[in-house]
Amino acid sequence: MLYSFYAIPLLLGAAFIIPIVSFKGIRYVSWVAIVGTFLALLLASLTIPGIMTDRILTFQMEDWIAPFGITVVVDSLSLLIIMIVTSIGFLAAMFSYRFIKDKRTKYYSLLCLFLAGMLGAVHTGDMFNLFVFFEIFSLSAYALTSYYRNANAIEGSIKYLIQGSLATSLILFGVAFLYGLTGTLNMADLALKIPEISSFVLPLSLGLLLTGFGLKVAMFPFHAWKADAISATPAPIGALFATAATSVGIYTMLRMFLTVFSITSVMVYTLIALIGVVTMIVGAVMALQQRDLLRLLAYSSISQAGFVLLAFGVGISNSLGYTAAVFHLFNIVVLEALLFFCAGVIIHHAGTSDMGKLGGFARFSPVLNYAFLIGILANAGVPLLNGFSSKWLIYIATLQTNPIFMVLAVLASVLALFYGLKAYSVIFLKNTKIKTKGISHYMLIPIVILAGVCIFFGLLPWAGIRISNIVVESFTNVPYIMKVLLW
Amino acid sequence: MDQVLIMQNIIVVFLVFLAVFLLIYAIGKKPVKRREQKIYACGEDIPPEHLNVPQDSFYRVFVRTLRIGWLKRMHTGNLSDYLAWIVLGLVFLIIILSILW
Repeated sequence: MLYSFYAIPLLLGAAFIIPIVSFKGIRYVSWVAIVGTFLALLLASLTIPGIMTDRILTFQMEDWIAPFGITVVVDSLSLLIIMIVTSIGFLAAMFSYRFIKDKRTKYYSLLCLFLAGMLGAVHTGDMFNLFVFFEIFSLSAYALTSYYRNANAIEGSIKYLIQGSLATSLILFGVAFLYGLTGTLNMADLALKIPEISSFVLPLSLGLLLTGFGLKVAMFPFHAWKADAISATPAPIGALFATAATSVGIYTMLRMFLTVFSITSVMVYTLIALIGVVTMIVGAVMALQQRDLLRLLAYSSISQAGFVLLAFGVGISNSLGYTAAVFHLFNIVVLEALLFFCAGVIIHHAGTSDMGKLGGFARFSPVLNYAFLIGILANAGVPLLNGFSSKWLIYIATLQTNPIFMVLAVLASVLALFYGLKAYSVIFLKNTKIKTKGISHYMLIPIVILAGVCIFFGLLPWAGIRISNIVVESFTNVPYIMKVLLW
Repeated sequence: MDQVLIMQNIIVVFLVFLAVFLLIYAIGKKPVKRREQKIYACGEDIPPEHLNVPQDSFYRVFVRTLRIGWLKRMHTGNLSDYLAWIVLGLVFLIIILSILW
């Protein structure tokens, strides 16, 4: 049974209940969000056995027969993203309990709406609903970016709003062209009809969709919004932008390439790999030059998303690339969330994210010290941590297809080590006294969990590789089409 | 087969790094004899605080080397420039995809 689907109405309900509950007492607001996101994670977890046995789960709204009506489809790729969104959403809600002090009602309401929008985008098997859910989570994201209401937040939010609106307009144009060409919006039906059509509108439509979703992933040259938006948001929301929202963007790109358009041209995939290489180098070089911790982490997440695109791009020639892409996507979600939560604690206690003013955190909290160190070492791909396991697969896959790309990937990892150690040495090793009290358990628990996952998948990479291989099985679109259209 | 090979490689690298770590750790555990002296340079005694170098200065050379002019100029912070990138990127993608289709 498709339990994970019920997480969408659950979170939408929570978003609307939170303002009502706030009349009873503001402290209940946080708990509604924490319990709501935990139940969403539970519902997502309950879907795992169904996917393990049937591989694809689907149902039609109101018993319409596909391709008519709204189709809901979950396969192993969707489930991975659903698990990412719900787990990071739950940890972010828990982290925010002590982090967010003002305007809790709006914050938690928008957080739940943001998560519901992302889950909807991953569940739907329909192009127009995909656009609608993208709008839901994007609008919540614009509002969350302006949470602090200061000059930076307003600037970051408006920049993100305008660029994001352009992206969603392009997605809508892409969907409209596809509908005009095929007369359907159902993804499985589109996958069946597109190979029969030869028209210049198809590359036009793919270009529009790729640009729209590429902006969500923040791939080069559509990455400019990310540093401005993330540096202005509260750290838990920054974590969601860098992990869950990026995952949903990558998911939709994979869905377009593998299911809807079913592209087999090696040249097109090489183009994606090339964009990935440029993204990871630009992200890493820009990260190295930042003095603001959140901006540094934002560029770092852009660079890591470039690794995923590179691995996906080489996957057509070497299937190991697909496994590496999925495994690295999972790993960057864990390590980026860890780094953003650590940054949240630092900002909460120091009151600034300017690295020039930070220092002394090694003595302040050894747990935070080691967790941040684990995060930056995993980000750079140092052995015994999860980042190494997936980057190793990326190096092997690219070496077998394009050695130049492999050299550039290693260079980007070296740069990641440099900017990571720079941030670590400045924030933790500099001798500055911190006058605030210890770290709240609500902040520390998500950090410890994520650091543990980094070590677990670093020491036992086969577990991640095995999960990734199951996800890669869903990269062929024939079972998807058969399941949706032939029940 | 590939995956078995990868796993073997990963395990070998893990073991090598573990061995290196244990070696460095064992060397580091040995007690070191220390003696304190005044810092003396260019005919003057220099107080230790004057020799304190900020940690991030170590990376400054590296950062300056990589400060690629065009990349820095691209990130103007100006919204109109960023919108222009999106439009140019879109045009580039459509042209390339039309050629490769």
